[in-house]
Amino acid sequence: MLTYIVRRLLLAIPTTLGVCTLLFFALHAAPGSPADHFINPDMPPEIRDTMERNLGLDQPLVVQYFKWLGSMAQLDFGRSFFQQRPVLEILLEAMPNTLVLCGFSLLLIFGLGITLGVVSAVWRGSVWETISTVVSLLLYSMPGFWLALMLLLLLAYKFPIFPSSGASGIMASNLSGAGQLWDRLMHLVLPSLALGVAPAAGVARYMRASMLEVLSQEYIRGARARGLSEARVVGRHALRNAMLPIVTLLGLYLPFLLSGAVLIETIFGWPGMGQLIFNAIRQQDFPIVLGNTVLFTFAVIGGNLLADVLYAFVDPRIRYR
Amino acid sequence: MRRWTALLPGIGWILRGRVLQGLALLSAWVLVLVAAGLAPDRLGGEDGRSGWDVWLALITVGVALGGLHLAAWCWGCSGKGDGEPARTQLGEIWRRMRERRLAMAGLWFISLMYLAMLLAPLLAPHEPQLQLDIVNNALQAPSSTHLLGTDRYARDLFSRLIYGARVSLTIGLLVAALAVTVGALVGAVAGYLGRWIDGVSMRGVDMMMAFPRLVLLLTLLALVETRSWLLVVLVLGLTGWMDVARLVRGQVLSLREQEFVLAARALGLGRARIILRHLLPNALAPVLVSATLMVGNTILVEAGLSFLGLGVPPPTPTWGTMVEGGRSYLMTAPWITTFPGLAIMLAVVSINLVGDGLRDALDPKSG
Repeated sequence: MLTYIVRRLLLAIPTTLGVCTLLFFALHAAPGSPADHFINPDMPPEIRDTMERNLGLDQPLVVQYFKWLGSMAQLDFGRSFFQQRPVLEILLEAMPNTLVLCGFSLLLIFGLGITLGVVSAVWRGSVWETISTVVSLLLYSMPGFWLALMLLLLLAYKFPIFPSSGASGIMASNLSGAGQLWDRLMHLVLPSLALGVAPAAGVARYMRASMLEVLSQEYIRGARARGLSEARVVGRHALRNAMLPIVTLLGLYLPFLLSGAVLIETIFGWPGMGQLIFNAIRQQDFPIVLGNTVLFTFAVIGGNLLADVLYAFVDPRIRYR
Repeated sequence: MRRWTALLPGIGWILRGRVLQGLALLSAWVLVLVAAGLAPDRLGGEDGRSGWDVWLALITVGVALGGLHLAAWCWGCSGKGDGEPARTQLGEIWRRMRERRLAMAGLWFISLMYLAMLLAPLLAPHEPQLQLDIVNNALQAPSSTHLLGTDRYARDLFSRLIYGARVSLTIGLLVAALAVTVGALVGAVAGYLGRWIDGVSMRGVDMMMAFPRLVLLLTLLALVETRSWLLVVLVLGLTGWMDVARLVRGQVLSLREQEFVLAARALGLGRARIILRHLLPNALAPVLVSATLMVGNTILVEAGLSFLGLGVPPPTPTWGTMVEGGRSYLMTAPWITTFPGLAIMLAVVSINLVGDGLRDALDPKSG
C-alpha cells in the first residue's frame, strides 16, 4: 500500500510538470503583454520595453521557461507582476479562504446528498422518493452561478438575512471573538450553498444506488428477521455499509469544487484562490496563474489518490500493488 | 380513427390513453403552426429579418409539419414496435426507451426546444439585437408586449431567449459530438493496439484530467483576440474527451479478446477496419449515455464561460451572457437573470432525463 502511494505521488510530478509546461506556453502565446496592463497606450514604447525587461519578459521564451522551472524546483513561485509581492505569500493568504469554503461545501454535499439518497432509497415507491428524486434532478441540472445569483436576490437583497459579498464584514475587527466567528459563518452560508448544491445531488444519486444495493442484502433480511426495528435496521445496519463507497467521492469532488470556486468566488467577492486565478489570467499575471495551477493540480491528483486509498481502506477486497 | 389522427397529430395517442406522448406531439404541432401563422408578418416586417435564417425556419416549418403528420399516421394507431424485438441495436435501444415515460418526456421537451431554436426568426417577436426605445423601454417588467420583459438596452428578453437557445443547444450538441469522436478514437486505438501507444495516450489522458478544466478553458480562450462559435466548440470539445476515451478503452480491452475479433483478424482485415467496423459499434451503448449527459454538462459549462464573459462574444445572445447582463439589476429587474437560468435548467433537466433513461434502457439487468 505504502509503495503504491509513493509511486502514485512520484507519477504526479511528471503530470504536474506537463500541465505547467502546457500552461506556460499557452499563457505566453496569448496576444498582448503583461506590461500593457500597467500603462496607458500613449506612453512611449521605451517605457514599455523597460517594464518588460524588469519583468524578465524580453528574454527568449525557452530561457524564461527554464528559469521558471529552476525556481520551481527550489519551491520558489516567483513574484507577482502586479502586486509586487512573492506569489507564495499571496497564495498562502488566499488558500485558507478557499479551503474553508470548500470544507463547508463538502459538509453540505455529504449531509444533503446522503439524506436525499437515503430518503429516496428507504421510502422507495412512495411520494418521498418522487420528491427527493425530483429535487436532486433539479439541483443537479442547475447552473451554479445562476443559483448563486438567485440566492443573493432572495436571501441577501429581498430578505437581507445574509451578507452579499466578502469573507467578513467591514466592521468585523471591532467585534468580539464570538461575534467575529458568527460574522464569518454568516458570510460562508450563501457561497457554500451555491458551490455545494449541485455535487450534493450527485452524491444523492450514488447514495441511493448504494443504499438500494445494501438493502437487498441477506444480512439486512437477517436483521429484520431478528425483529429489529426498521429505524435500527436502516440506521445501524444499512446506512453504515451504504456509506462506505460514498466516502471515496470525497476525493473526486475536490477538483470539481476548485473549478466551481472560480465562478462562485467571483460572484461573492470571496478572496480565495478561484477569484485570484481568474483575475490573474485576465491581467496576464503569469507567476500567480502558474503557482495557483500547481496547487490546483496537486489538489486534483491528491484527491484522486485519496479516493483510491479510501476505497481500499473501506473495502478490504481491493488491493493495490 | 387513423384519419383523425393524421388530421390532428397526437389525438390518436390521447385516445389510446398515452396522453403524455399525445400532448407532446400536439404541442409540437401547435408550435409549428404558430410559427407558420406568424411567418407572413415576420417576412414583410420592417425588422428586415431575412436571408438564410428565415429560409431555414420556413423549410423547418414545412418539414416539421409533414414529419409530424407522417409520424402521427405511422404510430398513432398501429402501435407498431410495441413488444416485438427490433432488428438493429439502435432499434432495440429505442424500443426500451419508449417504455420509460420520464425519459420520453425529456426527449420530447428537448426536441421542442431544438424545434423552437430552428424556428427562432419566426417565433421571436423582435429582433434579438434590436434596441427598442431605450428611454422608455429599458428594464420593463414582463407584460403582454414583452412576454419576459426587456433588458437594460431595451432588448426583448423573450426574443433573446429563443435566439440564445441556438448558441447553447448547438454548442452542447457539437461539443459532445466532437468530444465523443476524439475520445472514442483515442480510446479504441489505445485499447486495441496496446503496448506503448496505450501507455503514452493514457498518460496524456491522465495529464489532461489532472488539469483544472476551467483554468485551461480560460487560458485557451484568452489566446485569441476575437472568439467565435467555432473556437468555443473546439476548446470545449478538446478539453472534454478524456472520460469517453477511458470508457471506450475499457470496453475495447474486453472486446478484443472475443472471438469475433479473432475471426475478423483471421479474415485478414486491417487494424483500422477492425477498430471502426467491429470494435467501436460494439462499444456504442455506454458511449451513447455518456454523450447524452455530456450535452447537458456542456450547456452548463458554456453558460458559465459566457457568464464570465469568455463565451461567444456579444451582441449574440447566449443564456450565460443574459444571466450576467441581469447581474447588476438583480434588485430592480430580477426577471433578466431569472428566465435565462430557468431555460438552462429546463434544457439540462430534459437532457439528463434522456440520459438516465438511456442508461436504464441499456442496463441488461433492468430488462
